[in-house]
Amino acid sequence: MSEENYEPKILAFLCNWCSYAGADLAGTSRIQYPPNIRVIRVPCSGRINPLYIIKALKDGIDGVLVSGCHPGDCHYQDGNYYARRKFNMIKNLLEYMGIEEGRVHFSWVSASEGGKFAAVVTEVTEAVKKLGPNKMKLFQNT
Amino acid sequence: MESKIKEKFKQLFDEKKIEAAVIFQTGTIPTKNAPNVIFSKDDLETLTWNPLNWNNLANYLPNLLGKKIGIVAKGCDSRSIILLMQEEKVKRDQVYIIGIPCSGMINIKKLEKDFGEEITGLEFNADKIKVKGSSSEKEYNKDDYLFDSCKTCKYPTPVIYDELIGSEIKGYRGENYTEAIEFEKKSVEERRKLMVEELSKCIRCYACRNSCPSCYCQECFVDSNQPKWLEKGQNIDDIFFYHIVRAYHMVGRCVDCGSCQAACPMDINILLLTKKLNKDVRELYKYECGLDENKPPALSTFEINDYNKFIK
Repeated sequence: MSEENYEPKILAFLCNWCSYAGADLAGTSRIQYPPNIRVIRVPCSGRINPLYIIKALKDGIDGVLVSGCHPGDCHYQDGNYYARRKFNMIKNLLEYMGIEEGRVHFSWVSASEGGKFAAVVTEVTEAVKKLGPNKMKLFQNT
Repeated sequence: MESKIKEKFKQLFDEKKIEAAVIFQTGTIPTKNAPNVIFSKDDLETLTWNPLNWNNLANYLPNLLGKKIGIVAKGCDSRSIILLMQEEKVKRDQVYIIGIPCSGMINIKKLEKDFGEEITGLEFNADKIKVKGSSSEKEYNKDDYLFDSCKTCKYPTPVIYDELIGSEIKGYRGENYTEAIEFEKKSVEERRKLMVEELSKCIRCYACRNSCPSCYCQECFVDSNQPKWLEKGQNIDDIFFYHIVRAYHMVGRCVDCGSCQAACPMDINILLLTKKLNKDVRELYKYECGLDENKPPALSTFEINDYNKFIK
């Protein structure tokens, strides 16, 4: 694919109770957002093992978006608080290891924020587009 | 020192206070000591204590679940024991800890390199090492050959013990993660280049995992084949994956003992990763691993107003 019409593939982990419903709302409200994301529904953002994020990057996905309920809104009371600590550490570690800032994004989107979901996806897609194809997949050549 | 430890263990075995003891024994070559678990006092004869004991003995505790164990512990070993207690792998009344203030362990690979020929004998004095080879004999300063993690060790005196043998040693008071801070300042491309350079040495023997007391999973994610997380082989992306996840599993659980790096046959700077995580945990969550058994590890707890700015 030439660089001009490069379309990144972005994996989105959405929590069942807020962000997935938020994405649904964006759809039913007919809000336009880039079609680059592939959604995986998870029970809670606390369910997301950072291993999944790294595995996705290793297998060649261009960007990852992780989204859950706002702090205090978790369906399981405190799942996203634990998740926040995990995400912060994995984000720092990935950047430290030389994976660009902007490959991995995190957001809180509630079930009523269809507009915010569309905005987040647009922002993430633009950020990943700017970085170009995932270089981790190209390690064999470096 | 050695006779005192032996005496104590003999007494403990006699009083039936312990069923097993985790100790160092003299190895088959003078440059290596063998960490070992013994079950009778007869095996105490070859017990040894010198600056070659870099292994973290807490590594053997999770396998001895349910037994009463005696253990000799340096500063880092004692912190690992606290970590294992926090994670309920070991109970406090199950272990009898003989604490030994540690003045640092010797990087024997570096010494072997500088000496040039096979070492046939080693003698340790207070701050000198006498090295014997087949044709020559030399004396070195101990301080020049300490592990980097020992030079900046903050807790050389055990944090927890039932009995302390020897007098307390004061820890390093400066910044012990300077290496990570320096590395952080480099650009992304440079960091990736250096990381690839460093990690491509890895032969995936997993010695770093096996020597680490915090790595005690029944099935490690690298050995799992359902799901199969990564391929076998020498691809740099698989190696990268392994090292990221290994380091990530150490968040708030690394006591900075340096046994992973000491065990590495390829001399990879593994501590570069864990140091960064330790530094972040210290800054973000005000937590240092292995100091207080009643506090939960950093990732097993949370605060309502944790750092949130990185999330949209």
